[in-house]
Amino acid sequence: MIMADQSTSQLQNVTQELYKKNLELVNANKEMTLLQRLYESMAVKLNLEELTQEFIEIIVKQLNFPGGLVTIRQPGKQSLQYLASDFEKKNQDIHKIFHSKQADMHVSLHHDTNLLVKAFHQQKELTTEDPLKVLVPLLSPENAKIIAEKGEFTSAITYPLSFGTHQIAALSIFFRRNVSELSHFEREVLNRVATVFGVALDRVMIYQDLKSANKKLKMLDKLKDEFVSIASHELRTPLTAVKGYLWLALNKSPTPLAKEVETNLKIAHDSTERLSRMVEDMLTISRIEGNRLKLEVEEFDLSELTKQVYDELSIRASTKHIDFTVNLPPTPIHYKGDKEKIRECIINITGNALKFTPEQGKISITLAQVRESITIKIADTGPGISAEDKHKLFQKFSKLDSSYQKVKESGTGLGLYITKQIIDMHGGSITVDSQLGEGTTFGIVLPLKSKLEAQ
Amino acid sequence: MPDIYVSLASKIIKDQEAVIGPLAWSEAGKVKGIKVIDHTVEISGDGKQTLGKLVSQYEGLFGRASVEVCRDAIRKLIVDVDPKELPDILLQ
Repeated sequence: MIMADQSTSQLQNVTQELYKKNLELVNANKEMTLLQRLYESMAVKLNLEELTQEFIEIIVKQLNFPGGLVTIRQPGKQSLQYLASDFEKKNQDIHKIFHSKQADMHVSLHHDTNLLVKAFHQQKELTTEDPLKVLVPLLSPENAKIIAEKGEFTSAITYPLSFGTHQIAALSIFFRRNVSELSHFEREVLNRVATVFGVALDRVMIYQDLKSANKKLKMLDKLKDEFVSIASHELRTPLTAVKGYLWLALNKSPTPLAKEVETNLKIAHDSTERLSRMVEDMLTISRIEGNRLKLEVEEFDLSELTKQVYDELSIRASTKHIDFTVNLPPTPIHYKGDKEKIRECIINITGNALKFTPEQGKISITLAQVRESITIKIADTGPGISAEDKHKLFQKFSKLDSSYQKVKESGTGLGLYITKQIIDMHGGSITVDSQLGEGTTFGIVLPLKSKLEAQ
Repeated sequence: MPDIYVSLASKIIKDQEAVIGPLAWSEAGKVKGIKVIDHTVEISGDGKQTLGKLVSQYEGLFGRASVEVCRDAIRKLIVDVDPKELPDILLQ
């Protein structure tokens, strides 16, 4: 009989232990669900007010608490400002009071009897059996009393919300029972929630800081662009006049010029010409980087365009006695893009080839269509580019170390950068095949169906 | 008042079901005054007493922890209920 009683008692103990284990699992599951909801909210909400409101709603609803509120320390201020709250639906009066007063609801960080302030300073959870210690002076004692009575709140727990050493906010939850009656599970969950809340607030504040810094940077960048644009425009007008008068002095002088004067005027004219090109390039770069460069998209025959560029540059080639040829396909290549910009690119690369190829050298332009892409190859027998210099080619103001740069006629250092940007905008690419002393072949590769066409 | 006892009993059984599964319903069916048909609860007789018996039924099997589950289950539902209308076992 005694053994049977013992067995029954042991069985009951086992059943009760199993029940406790099951309960732990159920609670763990609840906690996981709650944390998952908080993490989901954290992933999508990047606005401080919205995130905080959603967090407090999730906490209050999921854990069946009567209500809660969050106050945050405003940057540079010695106070905690009301940020968000949630109360059971039946307590509409409480909602009304909070929403009507929220603009001026704050508590000074020197108010050391307020539980929010105490928890914020002490960085630990604090409890009270008097909810007014949380609500006053956030609200007037009268309003605080109304809220405590309407909600039948008898106690509150307050958590500091922080991340590392960054003290951010304070969270208070109100109860209709003594805090000592909170289950172990509720205390555990609230601790975890406070940690996640701190991380979420820190994250969203970093995001807001970054957003504001980004806005400032964009503004500064815009100012820089505007400055470059205005300065370039302002420079262009007097430069045109200077260039014109220099040309007149050189070519329309009423009396023959002394040799030395003529040389000096020519240097001045060439330098002005270079300065003028640089101003134009700066303007183009300013447009590219300010996303203001608009492509005028049209369909055109790339074969015809290449021939035009060839004809245009043939005179320069002949003055250097360069063997300049063009190889075009038998049929037209119809391409949709910005004709003038593509012309600029071909002229730029071919112009470089003309500049760097010595007299009696060779330059060829070859246009070909292979499947879905078009290639314009510009090959020269110039000094070539070293492997080290190749990666600098498309940078702004790049100065190459090799003999490629050692020519009298130096450029602005912006042409290839602009060319690459334009080709990129067309969804194409530029290839460079070169070895020192063996010439260079630049290839402009354009997709036959450019991304501009797709647009 | 009888409706509130049905609501409270249903909520208690559902929350117990989350912990112990279908056993929560079969144990509830064993309580005198409670009839369970397709997870629907009917209470006959003294609601307050029957509710107390339901909680005691779980306590007898699963101990004090199960009483806490019952209390948590009804916490939101009893805000407007006079404590005198509730069995002592559900009051702190």
